This record gives sequence, structure tokens and C-alpha cells, in this order.
Amino acid sequence: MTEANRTDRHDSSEAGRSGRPSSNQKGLGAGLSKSLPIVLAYVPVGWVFGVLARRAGLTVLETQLMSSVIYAGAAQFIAISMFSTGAGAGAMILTTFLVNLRHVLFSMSLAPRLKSLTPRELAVLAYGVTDETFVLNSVELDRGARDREFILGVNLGAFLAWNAGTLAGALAGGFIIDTGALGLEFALPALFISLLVFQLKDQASLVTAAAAGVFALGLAVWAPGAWNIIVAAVAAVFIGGCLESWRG
Amino acid sequence: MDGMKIAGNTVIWVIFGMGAVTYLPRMLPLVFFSRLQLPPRVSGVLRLIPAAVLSALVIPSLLVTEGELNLTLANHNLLAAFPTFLMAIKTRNLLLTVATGIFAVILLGRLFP
Repeated sequence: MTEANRTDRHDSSEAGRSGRPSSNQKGLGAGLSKSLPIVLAYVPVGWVFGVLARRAGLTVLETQLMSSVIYAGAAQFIAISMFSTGAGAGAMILTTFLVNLRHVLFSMSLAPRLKSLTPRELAVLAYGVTDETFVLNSVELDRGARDREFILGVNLGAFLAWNAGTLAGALAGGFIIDTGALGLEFALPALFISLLVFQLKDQASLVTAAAAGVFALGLAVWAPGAWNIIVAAVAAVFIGGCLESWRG
Repeated sequence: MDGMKIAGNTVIWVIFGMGAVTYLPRMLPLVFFSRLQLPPRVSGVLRLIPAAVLSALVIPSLLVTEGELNLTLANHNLLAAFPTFLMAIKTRNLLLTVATGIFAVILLGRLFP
């Protein structure tokens, strides 16, 4: 930590508390308030996760653990889907790993701009890296200097929101009795459709998704099992990756 | 809901296992590789994984009922998927899309029980 940073931190904490506009870029409070858009998204989606996790047979503790220990939306939803279909531990952990591997890109992108932080500080901030906090933190870091408390504030706001939403949903989810008429069985597929559409940004992703769908379909009909997802995904990514290389 | 193959306390271990494989890709590059650049081919591939996994999950769930391909009108999941996809593409709003899907399924359940 350099002298300049230490000075900044001292000034900014005070300013952050008093809310003076010139220092809305530094300090924990500033980071927390900047995370508001993410908070507004994470609370309801976390709630949905809490409800669906309970429906899949998880206890409130297990549900909350998932949101706090794993803390990765898409992977969590995929995991509860796999819990429901009776997948084994190995398949679930490997799928989680694959789905969350993209965080490597986010961390690599953030790392050069966080060089002044100690490994311990980086290890703490790393916990909060998600698609959304990565985008927000990247934009903020590009706009100007942000201290470590700011980044922490963004990450903390998002993390608390996701976990608060999960808790609310997990507790509420326990009260749902007959859900057949409520159409909630389609909630998870609908959510996956949403997330899938968000991923379809270019030709490579479209081709990859199409290939994965076809492979998974074939495997589901001829050789059902939890490893189908991984096999189909790996094969599809290989094809999509080749396409990207040939075009690029 | 039956189907949970993993017993009570093992679930906790699986969750921690999933947590570990999630945290390491977040942490290691941040702490150790601040100067490294991934070759574009590798980063390009990593970016495609969520799309592949989500599609591999969704497509069979819409088209396969109990191990068999089901392209009939009785497959409410498949029918409801159409407005759901459209809503996702049009609004890019997660909650609206999920609500659309659920509404579609309820409607289909009432119209064609």
C-alpha cells in the first residue's frame, strides 16, 4: 500500500460518510451505493433460487450455504437441477467448475488494475467476482482510481443482496404446498432459457449452444445420465472454439 | 420430490466442493497472474462454456419426456418455451421471462389438461 493510497483512504472514508459528491468514488459506502443496480437484480433472483432450492429438497441451511459458499447464480441453479435429477457428486462438482471457469477471465482482466493490493486483500475481493460485479468494477476502475474499500463495497452489496434474497426465498419456499397448479415446475427451465438467451451474443455462441442442445438431446434419448451435460458441453465448446479460431 | 441421490450430510460436502472449484478460478488469477495474458483462443473457449452448459440442460428438458422425444402438443414445456424464448430475446429481463414461462404453462394446463 503506497503513501498516496493510505492518505486517500483516510480522506475518503470521512467524505464517504458525509456524502460529499466529489468523493463518491472512494470508500466502502460509495461502493455499496454503486452496487444498488446489482442489489435490485440479486434480491429477487436470489429469492427465486431459495424457493427452487427448497423445492428440490434442500434444507434452508443447505440452500443458504449454496448462496454463501458457492455464490454463483447460474451454477447454483444448474446444481439444484442436478440435485433433483439424482446426479452424483462428481458430475455436479465438475459441472460447477466448468460453468464457473469463466471467472478466470474476469479475474485476469481485473488483476492489472489491482496490482497495489496485497495477496490477502486480493483473496478477499476475489470472493465477490461475479459477472455483474466484474462489469461494474471494470467500468468504475476504467473511469478513475478506486480504492480497495470501494471494490469491497460493490462486492459486499451484491453478496449480501444475493444471500438476503436466498434466505427470504428459502424461508418462504417452505410454505408452498401444492405447486402443480402454480406452474413452478417450469420456473427453472424458464430461467435457463433466459440465461441462455443472454449468453447468445455472437455466431460462435449460437453455434455452440445449438451443438450442445443437439448433442445433449441425442444423449438424453440414447444414453441418459448426469454426465451428458458435461460431454455435450465440452463437445459443443470444442466446435464453437474451432469456429472462432477459423473466423478470427 | 424424489431424485436426490446424495444423502443428507454429504450434500454439505458437495456444496463445499462446488464452492472450492468456484473460488479457485476467481482467486488464483487475481493473486498470482496479474501479468499473464490468456491466449485469445483459450479465453474465447471459456466464454462459450455457459452457453453450452445451459443449452445442454434446457433443450432436453423441453423436448424429452421420460426418456422419449416428445414433439406432441401434450408437451406443455415445449409449447411454453416459445413465448418464453421470445420474451427473453425481446426484453432481456429475467423476471419477466420467467413469469411469462410460468404463465404460459399455467394457461396450457388449463386449456389442454
